[in-house]
Amino acid sequence: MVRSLRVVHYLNQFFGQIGGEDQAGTACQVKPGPVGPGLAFKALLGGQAEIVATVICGDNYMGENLEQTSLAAAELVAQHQPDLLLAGPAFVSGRYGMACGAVCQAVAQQLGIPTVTGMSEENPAVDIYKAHAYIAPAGKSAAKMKDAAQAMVKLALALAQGQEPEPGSYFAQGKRRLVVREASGAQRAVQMLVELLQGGEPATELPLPNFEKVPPAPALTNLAEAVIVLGTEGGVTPVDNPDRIEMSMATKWGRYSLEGLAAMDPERFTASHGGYDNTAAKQNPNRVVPLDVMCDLAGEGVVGSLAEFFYTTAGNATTVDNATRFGREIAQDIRARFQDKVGVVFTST
Amino acid sequence: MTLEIALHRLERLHLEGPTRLQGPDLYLDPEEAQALLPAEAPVKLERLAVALPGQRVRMAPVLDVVEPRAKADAEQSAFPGFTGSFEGAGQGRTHVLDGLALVAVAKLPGAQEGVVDMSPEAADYCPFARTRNLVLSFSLQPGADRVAADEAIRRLTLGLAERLASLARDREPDQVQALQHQQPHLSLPRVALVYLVQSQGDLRRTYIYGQPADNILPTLLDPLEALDGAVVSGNFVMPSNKTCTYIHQNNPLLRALLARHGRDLDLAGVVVANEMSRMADKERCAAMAARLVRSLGAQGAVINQEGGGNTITDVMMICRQLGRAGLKTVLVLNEFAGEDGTTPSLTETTPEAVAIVSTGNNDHRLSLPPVDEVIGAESIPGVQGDLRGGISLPLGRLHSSTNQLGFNHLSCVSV
Amino acid sequence: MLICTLTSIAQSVGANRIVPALGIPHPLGDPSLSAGDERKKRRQLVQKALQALTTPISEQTIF
Repeated sequence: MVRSLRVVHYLNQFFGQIGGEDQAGTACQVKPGPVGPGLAFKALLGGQAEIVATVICGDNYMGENLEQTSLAAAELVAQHQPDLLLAGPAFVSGRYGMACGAVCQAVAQQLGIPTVTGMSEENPAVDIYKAHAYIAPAGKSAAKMKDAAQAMVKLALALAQGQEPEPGSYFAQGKRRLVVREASGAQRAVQMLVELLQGGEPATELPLPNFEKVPPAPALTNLAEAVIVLGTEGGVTPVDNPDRIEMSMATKWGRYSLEGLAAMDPERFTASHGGYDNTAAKQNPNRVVPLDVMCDLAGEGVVGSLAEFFYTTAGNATTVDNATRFGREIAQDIRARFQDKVGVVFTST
Repeated sequence: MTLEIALHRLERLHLEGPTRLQGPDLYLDPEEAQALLPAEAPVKLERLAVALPGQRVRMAPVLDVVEPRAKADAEQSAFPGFTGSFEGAGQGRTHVLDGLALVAVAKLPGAQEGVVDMSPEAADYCPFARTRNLVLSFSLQPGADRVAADEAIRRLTLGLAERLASLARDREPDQVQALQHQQPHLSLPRVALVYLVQSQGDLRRTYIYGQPADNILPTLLDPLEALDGAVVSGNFVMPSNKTCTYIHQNNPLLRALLARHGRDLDLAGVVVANEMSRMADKERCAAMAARLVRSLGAQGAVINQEGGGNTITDVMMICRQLGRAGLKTVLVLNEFAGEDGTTPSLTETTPEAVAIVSTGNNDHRLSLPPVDEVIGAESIPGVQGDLRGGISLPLGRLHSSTNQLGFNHLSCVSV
Repeated sequence: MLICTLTSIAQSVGANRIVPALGIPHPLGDPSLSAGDERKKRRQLVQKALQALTTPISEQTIF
C-alpha cells in the first residue's frame, strides 16, 4: 500500500482564521490538521495526501523580517516531516504573496521537498519567487479559491510523484534544464540559419539574460589617507595552495598574508588558474597582484597604507552564483576590517 | 572538387599481431605502436586498451581523440603538416576506420582533465562513449617537459591513426561519401561558417596545417580541406568545451552546411579565426573575420565558440559586427547555468545575438555508476569519488559533452 | 575598481570603475619588456587604478 503523503499548509492570519488586518502582526504558530481553505485542499487531496499541520503567520510580522521569519516558519514546517508544502493561495495580495514565496523558498532549501503556492500573475511576488517555488496561476481573489486549489493540488501531486509538471501549470522558473535532442547542435544551427534567411523569426535556444546594474561607490577623497586592498581572480596563491582553491569551477576564495613583503616573491606565491597560461604569472606574480609597485607608492606616501593581505580565487568557469557569493563575502570581510577610507584594486586575468 | 570519404566499418579490435585488417576485425601488434615512439621520447606508452560502447570502463585524464584516417594515395597525408605534406588535401579519397577513435590518456601538468565513460548511462552525454576506442595511456618520463611530452603524444597518436587507416587502402569500403563544394548557387542565400578555434599558449593550442594558430590572422580555409585533417587540436582547456581533433576532422557544422549546400543554401566559404588572449588582438581578429565574411558576399553566418570565459568576447564581437552589417547570424554556445540551472548562462551578450543554439549546461551534474575497469588515473580533480566507484561530475569534466561545433545532441530549455 | 583585459565582460557583469589591463595571462605585466620597463608600465597602470578610485562617477566607466 502506498503511504499517504504528509503535507504542511502555510496560511496568513486571515485565511488561518486568526483575524483581519489588526492581527497582521501575529507571530508564527502551528495548528494541527487543515484550517480554513485547507479543508478544500483536503477534499481534493483525497486519500493520496494528508494535511498534518498548518503554519500560520501574520503578513506584517512575516513581511517586516522576511528572511528570518521565513526561516523560522520553515523550522516549524520541518518539525512535521512533510513530503510537500502548500502555501496560500495568495491571489493578488502582495504581502501574502511575498510570505508564501519566502516560506516556499526557505522550505525548499532546507528540506529539499516540493513547494507549491498559487498567485495571480499580477502579484509582484511571482517575479521574485518563481525561480524558487512552483507557483500555480490563480485568480485575483478568494472567489477563485476552488480553481486555485485544484491547480495547486494537481501540480503538487505531479511534483511529489517525481513527474514533470505540464508547461503552463506553473509560472516558468527561468531554470535551464538539460535535454537531449533528436538533431545534433550543428544540424539545429544550420536549420536555424536557413529559417532566419527565409525570413523566419529567430527561435533561439538561449534567450539573452539581463545583468544587474550596481550603483557606483563614492570616490575616495584623499588617497594619502586611504588604505588600499589588493585582490585577484587570477589564481595566485601561496605555493602550497593551502586551501586548495580549484583552478577551474572554483568553490572558494582565500585571504593570504602579505606581511613584511615588498613584492610578490615567486618562491612564495604561484598561480594556478585553468583559464590562461600561468607561465608569466608564475615567473613574476606581481604581474597579477601588483604588490611591488603598490609598496613603492605606499612608501612614497601616495596612498596611506596597504592592507597586509590580499584576496584571491580562480575565476575560470566559476558559476555566477559562486562568483556573486565570493564578492559578497569578500566585501563583508573587508568591511569588517576597515570602516571607511578604503579602496579596493582587483585584477582579472 | 570532390573529397571521397571512404568508410570502413569495423566491429572488433584485437591487440595482437601481426597488424592487419581482416574482414570486420582490426589487429594491432602492440610492439608496433611502441615502435612509433622514438627512443628518447619524453613519454612512455604504458598501456594499450580497447574500450567499447556499453562496457563498464572509464578513462581519464583524456587529452585528444583522433579518428583513424589515411589518404588513398600513400604519398599524401591525413594530417598535413604533421604526418606529411599538403599535396592532395581536401581532394581524392580518404580512408576512414568508421566508428573507431584513438583516445590519448595522460596526466599532463597544467592540462585540464576530463573523463570518457563507456557506460550506457553516459552514452547520451559523452560522444566518445559511442565510439569503439583504442586507448593509448601514457606516462611522462621523470623530469619530462610537459610541452615536449604533449608533442610526443600527439605525434604518436596521429601517426598510429594514419598507420591503422592505411591498412584499408587495399580494401573495398563499406560506404563512400562524396563531399562536394561546387559554387555558386546564385538563387540560394549565401552563408559562411566562422570557424573559431582556441589557441592561447602551451597546452591551449590549435594547429592549422601543423602551424600553431596562436598568432594567425583570420583566413579562408577550403571547406573540403577543413574536413580532411587541416585542423588538429592540442587544446586542453575544460574537456567539454574544447574541440578535439576527431571533431575537427568531422567538423559537424561544416558537414551540416555541405549537406544543405545547393539545396537550401549556398556555402560561400569558411573563415577560420583564432580566439586571441589580448583585447586588442581580439578586436583585430573580429574585425578581419567579419570583413572576410562580408567579402564572400554572405547574407548569413554560423559562428561557433571553442572554450569558454574570455572566448565569448570573440563570438559576441563578430556577431555584433556581422549583425550591424545586416547579416543573420546563428551562434553555437554552451552554457554555465549553475548546477540547478538558475544562474545566467553567459557572461557577455550583444543585442545582435538573437539566435543561439545551446549545446548544454557545463554545470549540469551527472552521477555515473561504478565501473569494472579504469584506464589511466584513479581519481582526477573536479570529479567526486574514486573513478572506479560511483562518481558525480559536472558535464564540464566529460569529454566533448557540450562541444560547440554542435557534435553532440545536448541542449537546454527554460522551465 | 577592476583592472582587466576583457573590459566588456567587466561591464556586462556590473563592474563600475574599470581600467584596461595589458593581457589576460599578465594583466599588470608584459614579459616581452625588460624588467625595468615592465615595472614602470605596471606602476603607470596602478596609478591609473588609484585615479579611478578618486574619480566620482555616476555610471560604468572605463578609464
